[in-house]
Amino acid sequence: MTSNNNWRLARFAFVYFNSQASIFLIPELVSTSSYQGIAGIVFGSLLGFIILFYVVYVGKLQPASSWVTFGNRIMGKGIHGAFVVMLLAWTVYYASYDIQSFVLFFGTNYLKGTPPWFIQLVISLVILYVVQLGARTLVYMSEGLFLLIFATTLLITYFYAENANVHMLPAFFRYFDLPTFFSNTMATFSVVSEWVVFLFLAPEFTFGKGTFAKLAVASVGNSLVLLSGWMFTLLNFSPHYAKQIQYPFLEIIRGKIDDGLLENSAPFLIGVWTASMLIHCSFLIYAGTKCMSYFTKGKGEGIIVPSLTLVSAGIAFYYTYHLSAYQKHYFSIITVLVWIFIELIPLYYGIVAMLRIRSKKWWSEQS
Amino acid sequence: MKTILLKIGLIAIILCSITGCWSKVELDQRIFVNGLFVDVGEEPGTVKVSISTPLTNRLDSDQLSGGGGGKDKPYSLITKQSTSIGKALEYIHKDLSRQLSLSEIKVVMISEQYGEEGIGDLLEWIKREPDVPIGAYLLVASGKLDDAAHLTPIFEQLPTTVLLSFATQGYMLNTTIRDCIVADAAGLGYAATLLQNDKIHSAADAHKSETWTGIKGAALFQQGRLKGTLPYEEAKTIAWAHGHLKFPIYSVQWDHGKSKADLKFTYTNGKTSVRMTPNGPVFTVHLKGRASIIAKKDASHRDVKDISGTIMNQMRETVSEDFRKSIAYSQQIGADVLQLGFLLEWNAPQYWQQVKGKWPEHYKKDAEVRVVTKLSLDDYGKEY
Repeated sequence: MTSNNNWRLARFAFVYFNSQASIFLIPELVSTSSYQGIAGIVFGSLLGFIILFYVVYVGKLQPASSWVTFGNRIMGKGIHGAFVVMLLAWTVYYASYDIQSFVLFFGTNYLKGTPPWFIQLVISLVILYVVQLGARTLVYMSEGLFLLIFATTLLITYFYAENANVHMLPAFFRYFDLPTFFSNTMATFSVVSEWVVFLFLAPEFTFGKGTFAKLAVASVGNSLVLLSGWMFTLLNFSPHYAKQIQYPFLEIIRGKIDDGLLENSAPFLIGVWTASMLIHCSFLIYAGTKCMSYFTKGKGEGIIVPSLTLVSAGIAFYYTYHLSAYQKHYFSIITVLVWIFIELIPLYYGIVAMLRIRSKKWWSEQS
Repeated sequence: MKTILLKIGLIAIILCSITGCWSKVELDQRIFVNGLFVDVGEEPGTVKVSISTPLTNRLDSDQLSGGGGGKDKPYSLITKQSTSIGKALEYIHKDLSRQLSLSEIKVVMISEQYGEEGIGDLLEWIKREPDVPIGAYLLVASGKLDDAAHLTPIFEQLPTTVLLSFATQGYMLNTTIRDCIVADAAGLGYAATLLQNDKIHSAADAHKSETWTGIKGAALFQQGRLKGTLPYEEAKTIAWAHGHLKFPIYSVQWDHGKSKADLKFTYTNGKTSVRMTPNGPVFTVHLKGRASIIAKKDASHRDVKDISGTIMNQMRETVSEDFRKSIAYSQQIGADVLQLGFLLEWNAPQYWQQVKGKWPEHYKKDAEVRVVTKLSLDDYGKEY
């Protein structure tokens, strides 16, 4: 519960959110935002703080144990069980999105000719291995990645700024309509509010004094990366073209043809993003494993991890051969709503806990 | 011990399988396309595609330039026709002993005729095909595209290097495919460097002639179609307004043509702005520049310091006149090559909503474009 621990979690949060925010959320935002994304991104990020607050609040209730184990004392066994099932389904499904995004991303751009199932197999093996090492390893892995991602973010800003048309800047403040603002807010919120999985860091890492502030710093950092990424995508391509492309960042870098060595830096950047995506996907499976082991009373994790990974990879495998279904599901409003419902879980627990818990004695009575 | 071995084995398998070797193509099994040439096909509805590739086995370090027309040219040009660019490339590919790599395309050159029929298919193909870089430069050949593709690279080894320098050296426009796509998606126009072919005597054999290609002016596009062309002097002001024109030289005259001077600009810059008035938007193009006098002949033998005001006035008049001519022509053909529509979209969204559906027509008839020049003299050269 030291300050060092909090910063470590903050770095982990930065890495965890990075790939989702920068590679996959930006195209989604650009497709609907036209010129008016700033308000939606800022407001969506601010709403994320509410979830963060409740995650830390719930996490602090019993710092030494995981939310999965003590949640039933807040909500009651039945409701808690239902939430755990939903969360389990969500983590596995979300991880399948990660795997499929990865396959598509690599398959389209680099590994042409490599069959998708092979890429999936390799990722699954890596995830399997990493998840089995536990939350502590994941967090420590992200320590090194943080430095790389941070340095890359700075380097990449140079690329983005090179061909940016700054005369477009006034447009960012001259467009506003409520439906677009609402959809941008929701899209941003659904990605930057995935704090619910952080409840699974306990008991390895505990929430305490200063955790909220440090995680908030990571969140602000990610929102800034998101905001600048969105802005530079538009400054480079204008919204009309930007909404047609799947990987605008990659297009910016690969579009350079006379920059010498730097024009070939795309694989390096992709490697860094991939690492962030791996952390994201592995941690989701890790959370799913903890959900599942709630029902098995902590037994059989050795089988649960491969099973969940297999299910995730299986869904991804289905999507590989039903690409239109994947695209439709990925960008559908229902997906956004389900995501938001799941991500609000800490809020439900937090509010109920606030209403029910009057004193510390309550915990001892319950246990 | 067993677990460690298992872990090491797993890591080794994963490491070996992420090297990308599944779909590997060795360097010596590839040919890198660095120039793509697109023309209309001989039959209606077809397209003629040529690729220019360097032949590394013939790239000789002793032979600094390809001039002189040596027998073994260090590049090859392969042409095929089909219904689409992708299909034509397939026909090229099937006869080759190596894999085509499109990721090194630096220059895309089209013929004037292909431009007139519309480059939408070309842009669409580049947008979707992940290998082709959208940063490749677009050039337009006014004569035969084949001739331009076969130009003699006097100072270089490859024709594509010469073409690339036309786009990057700043003597005309440096329009990239990305610029075209962005403008097209927004329904605006763009201009690209227009080239022309000529014949020169071969340095090696005086009886033989070779193709020489140079900058002719600018080709103006709107909605993916080439609408018209501008001659060199007028095209220069379009490049100037875009903010990248290197060392333009202007000649001015006074005393009814008895006196004249040449000025070389060492710095140029241009930008566009819009101001909304009750009568609609007024666009202003600001052309900035600093020049040196490189030649002067005054009928009354006055020093430059006494006539520099006259020279600069004439200079401003010449530049403004060239610009007015080029913008008037772009309006006549309805090609918003300075992308003034973007200024409205960014600064006056409500007005843009009203006109964006019929913007080319609006630009043609109602757009008021003014020019403001801010030119100054850096030095008078070596003489007083």
